[in-house]
Amino acid sequence: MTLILKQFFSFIKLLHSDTGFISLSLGCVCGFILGMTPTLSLQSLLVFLLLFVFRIQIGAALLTAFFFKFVAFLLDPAFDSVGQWALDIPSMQSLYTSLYNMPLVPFTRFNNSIVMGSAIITILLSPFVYLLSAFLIKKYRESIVEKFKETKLFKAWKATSLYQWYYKYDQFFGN
Amino acid sequence: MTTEIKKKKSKGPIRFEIVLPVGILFAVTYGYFTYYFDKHLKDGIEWAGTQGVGAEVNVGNIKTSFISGSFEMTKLEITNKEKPTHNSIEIGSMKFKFLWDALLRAKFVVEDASILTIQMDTKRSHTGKVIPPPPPSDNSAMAKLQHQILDQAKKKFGNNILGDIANLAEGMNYQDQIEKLRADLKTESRINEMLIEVNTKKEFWDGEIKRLSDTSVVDEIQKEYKVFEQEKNAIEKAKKIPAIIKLADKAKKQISEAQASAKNLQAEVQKISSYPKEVENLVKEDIASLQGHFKIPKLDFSDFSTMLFGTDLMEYVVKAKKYQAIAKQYMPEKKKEAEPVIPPQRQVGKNYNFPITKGYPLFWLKNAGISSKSTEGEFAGDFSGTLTNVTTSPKIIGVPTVLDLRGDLKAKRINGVQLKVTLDHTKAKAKQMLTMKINSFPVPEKMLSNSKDLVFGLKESVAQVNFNAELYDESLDIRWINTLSNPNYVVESKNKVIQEVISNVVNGIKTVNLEARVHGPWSNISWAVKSNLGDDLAAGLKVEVSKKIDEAKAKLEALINEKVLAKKTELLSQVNSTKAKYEGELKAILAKGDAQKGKIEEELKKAQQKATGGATDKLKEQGKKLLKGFRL
Repeated sequence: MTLILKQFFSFIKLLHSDTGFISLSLGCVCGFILGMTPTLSLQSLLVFLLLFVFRIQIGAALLTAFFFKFVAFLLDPAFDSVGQWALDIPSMQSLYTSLYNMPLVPFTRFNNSIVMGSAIITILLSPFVYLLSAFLIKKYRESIVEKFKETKLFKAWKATSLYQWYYKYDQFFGN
Repeated sequence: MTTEIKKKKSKGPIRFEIVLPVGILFAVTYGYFTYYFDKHLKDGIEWAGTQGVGAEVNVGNIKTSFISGSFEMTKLEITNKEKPTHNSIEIGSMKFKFLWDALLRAKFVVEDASILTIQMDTKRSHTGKVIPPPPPSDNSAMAKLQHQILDQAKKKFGNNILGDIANLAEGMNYQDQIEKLRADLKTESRINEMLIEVNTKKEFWDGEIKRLSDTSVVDEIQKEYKVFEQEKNAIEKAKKIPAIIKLADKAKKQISEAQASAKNLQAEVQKISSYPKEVENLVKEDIASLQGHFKIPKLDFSDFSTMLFGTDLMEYVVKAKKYQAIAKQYMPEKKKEAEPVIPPQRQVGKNYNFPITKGYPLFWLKNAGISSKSTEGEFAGDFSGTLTNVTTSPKIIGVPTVLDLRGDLKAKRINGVQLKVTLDHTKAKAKQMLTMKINSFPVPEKMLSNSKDLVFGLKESVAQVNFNAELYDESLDIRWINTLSNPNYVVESKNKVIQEVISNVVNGIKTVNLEARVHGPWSNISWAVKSNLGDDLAAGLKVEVSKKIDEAKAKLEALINEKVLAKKTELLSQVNSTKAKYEGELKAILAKGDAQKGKIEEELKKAQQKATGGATDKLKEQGKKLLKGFRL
């Protein structure tokens, strides 16, 4: 829980800093995949493994996953159609049969139309999600954060000793 | 101010602050499974085994390997509950190797396994602990069923037949015994009741017959009719008709009531007439009851072998039921396989089921080699065999579990053992089969009768056995063929006739064959036991014993008759006289009633005719007179 909270604070801080937009964008992509996938499956575990092993922003991933869970709920009919189309391709039947009888692979639940459909769509859309999130983060920093930093209220706050103390603390002990 | 602070070193793409702790955790887990898991698994098996078996279970060593998916256990010892200094079973080593292909599908398939050096009744290095057994629960379904089977067998076989025969041949003094049992004789007490009943009823019937013979109303109507006849005036005569009709109705009603009462009395008299037959039946019942009391056997010589060996056989039947219940418990009917389903968090979607070309049940032991080598242990033998297809889902693999074992137990002089156990749970109804053949084994001394009148049995001998048991759903079929070669007999009886007859019979029997079959549903088991020993004994004893039985029966009948003769005669005489007296009287009452009814009807008819006919003539005459007057 501490790790998750820390990741959330880190996400807010990173969002308002000048660096780390790649980590944030990758986090958004992972969250997009997690949010679209309808159930806990092998591919979800693989995404979690990537999140923990690589420096991808977990807070961003969790927040994005939370957001996309609702979007995915609305997109289920589309996933179902795409999944059924993919699973019904005659030339792929022997491949699916082989995969179905392989160890571990059935745990991906690939034989479910919604899982298959969501996997196809998320894989295809992932690069766009990455680019879009990177663009939005940059835009947010330029248009909102910078403007906020120019306000008198923020300048007054920066001048307080409490802020100075926090700034020093963050430089020595923060991530 | 911020520019003074040295910029922090940027971190690489790998999150080492998480990867390292996770790596350490994996290393610790690996270390645990490498150095401690086997020890803890050993302790766990020992504890669970001790609790399950009820006696100390020890494991020498356990070695597991995650990489190769193997399990190896050495020196498994299970303490004998009855003899804690010894093991009931000791297994030298057990090896299992799981199939990784199945493990990756979360299934446990043992391609090959071995269970080696199985020994029984081996001495333990220390006395094993025995957990006190829980109090037996008579209410359990198993206990009830066992009692049911035992009751069936007891009813069927009763006590030892040879002991009863010897007792009978010895002869008994029934006189004194019957005096003591007099209160229990049904005949005597019932005859007393009957006599009291007949005497009481006689008084009541006398009163009733007197009442029924009363003719006052009939007399009154006759009197009224005479007055009516004497009346000259036709109008007055007609006026009396309603009173006569009313009186006639009353008389008819009284006669009908009397006739109904008479019929009831007739039925009661008839009931008394059946008393002599009831007495005869009671005498028979008393004889049968005394036969049981004095152990006079009801001999059916065609079923002699069943009576002789049945009590031994029932032990096997009870065991068969117990093992079937245990097999059912551990190999339950496979319920519908749990389908992998997607939790309906969102839409369920459509699951495509592709053909299964490679599937496994949750647990499947494909093949296990079993072997045992002779050691110094008394029960150790040279056995080898296989255990195949032990699984949690027999319906998936579609083949039954089979244990096939062959070998010898030379220390116990048991040779040529062939055992095959088949547990077939692949169909909707489970079927268990056991086939066992032993070419030769020693049979300990077996007493077939051990009463004070006769000691009869077989000394230690060598036998051959073929045993087939089939348990299917709620029925069983057990066939048992046992052959004893060159048996030595023990025959000791105080009665010379019995001693001589049995000795002569058994001396001619060089091989004793025993064929038994127990079959049918558990609730109604059929038993059939055939043995040349039983047949020959039956043939030898039949004439002698039948004569003795008839004598004993006749003696009992005579004694009962003697006890009840006087009262029986009195009852018969009372019944006959009562019947003769009341039947005649009642018939007369009924006949008289009918006659009176007829007479009343006839007189009433006449009276009506006279009254109506007379009045009409008179009116005709008066009419004629009036017409004449008009002509003037």
